[in-house]
Amino acid sequence: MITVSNVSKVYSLESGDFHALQDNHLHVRKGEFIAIMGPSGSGKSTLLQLLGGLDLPTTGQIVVDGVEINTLNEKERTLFRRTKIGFVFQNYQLLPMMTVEENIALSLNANNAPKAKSKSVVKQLLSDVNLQGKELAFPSQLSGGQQQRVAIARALAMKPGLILADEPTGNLDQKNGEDILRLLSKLCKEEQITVVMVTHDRQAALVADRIIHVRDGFIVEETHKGGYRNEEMADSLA
Amino acid sequence: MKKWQIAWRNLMRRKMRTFLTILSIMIGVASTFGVLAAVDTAEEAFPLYLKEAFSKADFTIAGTDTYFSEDVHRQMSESQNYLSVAILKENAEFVTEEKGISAIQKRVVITGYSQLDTSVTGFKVMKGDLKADGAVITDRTAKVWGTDLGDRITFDTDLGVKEIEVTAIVRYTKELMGPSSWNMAKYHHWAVAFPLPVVQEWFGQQGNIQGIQVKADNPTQLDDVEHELAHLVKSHTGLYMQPIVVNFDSVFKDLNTFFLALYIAGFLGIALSAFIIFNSLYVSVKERRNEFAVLKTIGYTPGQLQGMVLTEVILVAIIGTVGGLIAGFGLALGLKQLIFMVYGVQSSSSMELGTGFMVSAAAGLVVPTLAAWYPIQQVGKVSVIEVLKENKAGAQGTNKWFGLLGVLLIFSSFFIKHLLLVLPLMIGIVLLFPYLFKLFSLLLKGFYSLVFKFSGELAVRNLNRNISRTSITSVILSLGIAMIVLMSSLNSALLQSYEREIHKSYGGNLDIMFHHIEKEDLEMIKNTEGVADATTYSLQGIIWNMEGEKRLLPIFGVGAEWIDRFQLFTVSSGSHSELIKNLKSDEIILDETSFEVWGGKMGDTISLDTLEGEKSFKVVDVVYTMKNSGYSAFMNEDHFKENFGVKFERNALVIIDEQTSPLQLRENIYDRFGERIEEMWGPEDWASMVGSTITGAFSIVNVLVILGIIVSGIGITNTLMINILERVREIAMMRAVGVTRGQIIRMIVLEGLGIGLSATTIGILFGILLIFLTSSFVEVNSLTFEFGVSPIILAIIFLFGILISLISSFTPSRRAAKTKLNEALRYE
Ligand SMILES: Nc1ncnc2c1ncn2[C@@H]1O[C@H](COP(=O)(O)OP(=O)(O)O)[C@@H](O)[C@H]1O
Ligand SMILES: [Mg+2]
Repeated sequence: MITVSNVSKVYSLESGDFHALQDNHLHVRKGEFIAIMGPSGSGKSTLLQLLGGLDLPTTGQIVVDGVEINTLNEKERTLFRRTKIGFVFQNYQLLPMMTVEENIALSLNANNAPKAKSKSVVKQLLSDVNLQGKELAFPSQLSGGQQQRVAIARALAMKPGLILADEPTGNLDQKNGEDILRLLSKLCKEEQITVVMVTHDRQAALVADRIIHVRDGFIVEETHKGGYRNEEMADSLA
Repeated sequence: MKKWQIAWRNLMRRKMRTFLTILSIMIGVASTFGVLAAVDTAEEAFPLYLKEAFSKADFTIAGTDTYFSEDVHRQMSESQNYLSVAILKENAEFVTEEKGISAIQKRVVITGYSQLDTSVTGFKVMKGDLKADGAVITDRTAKVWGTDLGDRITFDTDLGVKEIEVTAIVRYTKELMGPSSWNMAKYHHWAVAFPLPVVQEWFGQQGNIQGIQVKADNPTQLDDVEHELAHLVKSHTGLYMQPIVVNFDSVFKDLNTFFLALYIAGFLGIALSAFIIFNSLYVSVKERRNEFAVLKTIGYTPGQLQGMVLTEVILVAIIGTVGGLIAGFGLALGLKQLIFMVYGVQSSSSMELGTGFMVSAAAGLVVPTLAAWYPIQQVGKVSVIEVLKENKAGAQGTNKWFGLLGVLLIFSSFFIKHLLLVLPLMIGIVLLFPYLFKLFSLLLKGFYSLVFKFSGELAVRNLNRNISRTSITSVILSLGIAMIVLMSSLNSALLQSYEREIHKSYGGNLDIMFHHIEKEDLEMIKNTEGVADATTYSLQGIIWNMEGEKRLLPIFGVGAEWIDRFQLFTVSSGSHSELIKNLKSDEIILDETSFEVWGGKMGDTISLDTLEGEKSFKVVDVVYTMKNSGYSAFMNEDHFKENFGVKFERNALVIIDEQTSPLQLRENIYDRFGERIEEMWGPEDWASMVGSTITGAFSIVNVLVILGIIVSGIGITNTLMINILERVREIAMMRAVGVTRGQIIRMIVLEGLGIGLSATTIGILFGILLIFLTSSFVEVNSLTFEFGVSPIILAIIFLFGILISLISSFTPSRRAAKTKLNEALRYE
């Protein structure tokens, strides 16, 4: 599903170049649940941005679902994100002036999907995330956990093969956090959706098939489910 | 000093907004300064100019016959306390090699002066010498004729072809008023000045003159001179004397309305900048709530925080005011030129800057501070706890009391019968605007989701999220639009009324002024091809004594047998001929303008200078006329001639037959009478002349209003910029989940367009209301205008408003499209 080879990301700052990621390799199989962990500022979000085509690597190559992201132009990358990738953010990022229904249908509407179709899709998604009947509520009327579930429904609207989530449980209490993790895990197992999730929380990472550790811009080690570690694993999978 | 440094640094953190705020203060100050200085200058200069243009002399002596003896002037020349110049006017035809010029375009009035270099003529020499015994022409005439100093010019007179050398070229002046091109020469004759003996010889009038112009050496001696002249005139038969009076009312009648409109436009400028300052500051304060909260926790008092913001405001105001004063000086010069040009006034008078400078400088400093008052209050109120709480995204409430006050103000303006009603109406609309906008956005929502789908739906939602910000921005544009709707409609309505009224009271299709009319002339005119009917009439300016002040009243001698066919005025009831037939010898009819200037009642008397001295005439009726742009009086022609010793008629009215064009008629008449014709005017000439003055005056006001609309364009840019800055993360998220750049651009442009659409729609409605309200009382030249709106004008204004909003959305939309996508993943 995802192949990252020789990827580096350098930010040019006034104070000089900053190497946010350096010469990384990673391979993710279809239907796999990956957790990315690491200290703050280590480059986790940067890696996620590159995987989602929000930004381009300074060097190296990223292939997602058979498409080499670096070679796409701006418009193609936008349409790629719209159809192939679902994003979930720490602070939900729902549009406050829109209803739950409209928020979920955002990419459908951007794609000019017929109203009737998007209505039925939204209905299905709401029942998938266990929020039946909340179509006309506004985000401000929902709890954090409910909002995040709306955000996940939004990410699923175009039936993407890959979900990228940046600290999706970061703003939630334990119970709501667990609900979200269970939901993501279920999507991964039942719908064969690949999930890449950045998290701070060791507990949360445990739902993943594999944990990638990042430090100072390097992928330093991997932990497989069951405690098996292999520091060379990342390299050998390239 | 440190305080100012901090303020400066804070301002520089938001360069774009600071720049736009300064720019809007500049435009406000500049428009105020420009308008005040230009109007002050015009008010100062116009009467002076009139005095100079029309009354360089103080008295004129004329005869009841066409000519009188030069000896009268010889006797006067001895006098020590005044200057006198004898005058003889004759008509000739200019001989030119220019192709395709008809006889009518070659008419020249040659005026002989006994002395050319006096203050009576006041010629300003550009080239040559006034004492050189040759012809004097104006620079304007020299240019069209292609004549230079030393060239010889040729004229065809009744006594053959004559030639003379041009020995002086002078600056264009009313004395030698002439056309500005060969084409304009169809309507007005050329004019040149000669030494008196040359004219006498050319036209066989040796020893004869037509008039004497007299100017007292010293204004304090006016009474003595008048006495002396009265004495002199009495000792000759057939001579009379008149003081020369200028009537400011009749020449620049509509000036005050025009100046008031200018003032309102200037006021609009400063009001617009106040809105923009309020808007930017309000947002700026909201944006910095966190900052203020932090400062409060470390011990800043509300007063200190307010002082900090106030310092920023004052800094911006000072910079903007200084810039505005400089720009305003330029604007004042430009406006002055425009105003003078429109009213045909030439004056090299200096600018009156004092009042304008003081008022606009004060406004530039005070208005921003006042506009900042509310936002600054908010600074003090920032509560630490509130900021730390999660920001709930609910619609902002609008203050119901403001809305109610707005309705009251709008309602109250219905009862103000003065152009100043614009002010309460404007303030009312401003207060009511959020509600109007809500209403409008319902329409907009339907329209946008139908036509623009996704981006449109988002745009409407976004506009409603910040309804107070959106409506403040929109109301600015809307006021400008309303003003321009009013001005344009006023303009076209007045043009139409003028044209209609001029035609109605012109007394025919052509008014011919002859050098003098002989007995057989009327028959000759009637027999001219293209003439359906004709009559002659007498017209003379008579001195009107009004409470120690002398005014000149043009009086028409009207014949009862012709007035029904040649209507010089409109009557409210009855027939024209009955009215004239029943006039007694000491009775007179005033037109509405002179009646108003007079201020008396029907049945009262006015005092006029007759052959036998001052005499009272009873005002028995008031009629309406646009003849000679109004301001005149009418008497029975027999009584008129009797009272004022008018022996000859000089004017003829002609009714055209249906197959002939006005220009063809002129050619035919000219072929018959040649040089004896001094002027020919048709109602269409008057209409176009008056029309261009009105349109010119309105264009000046419109220039200012358009400036205001451009300022509101800045306001739209400002608001959209603030919107996208606030929503950076949201836009990044949308881009992340697959909304394209194009869709984002469209969304922002549609937000700008939404502001523009609501502003133009509401502004146009408001403008129509203004037209409706003002049409009941606004009078220009005693002409009220009818309520009416031109759909074409509205369409143009609508498109203009839309265009401005689209242009204003350009930069913000591009900026939004460039939002960095990784903003979506950044959380503080
Ligand atoms: N747009 C950017 N410009 C410059 N530096 C950036 C940018 N985005 C991230 N960084 C820097 O790169 C490093 C990695 O950031 P990030 O990937 O967000 O870390 P995290 O692991 O906390 O998600 C940080 O030091 C951050 O300051
Ligand atoms: Mg991060």
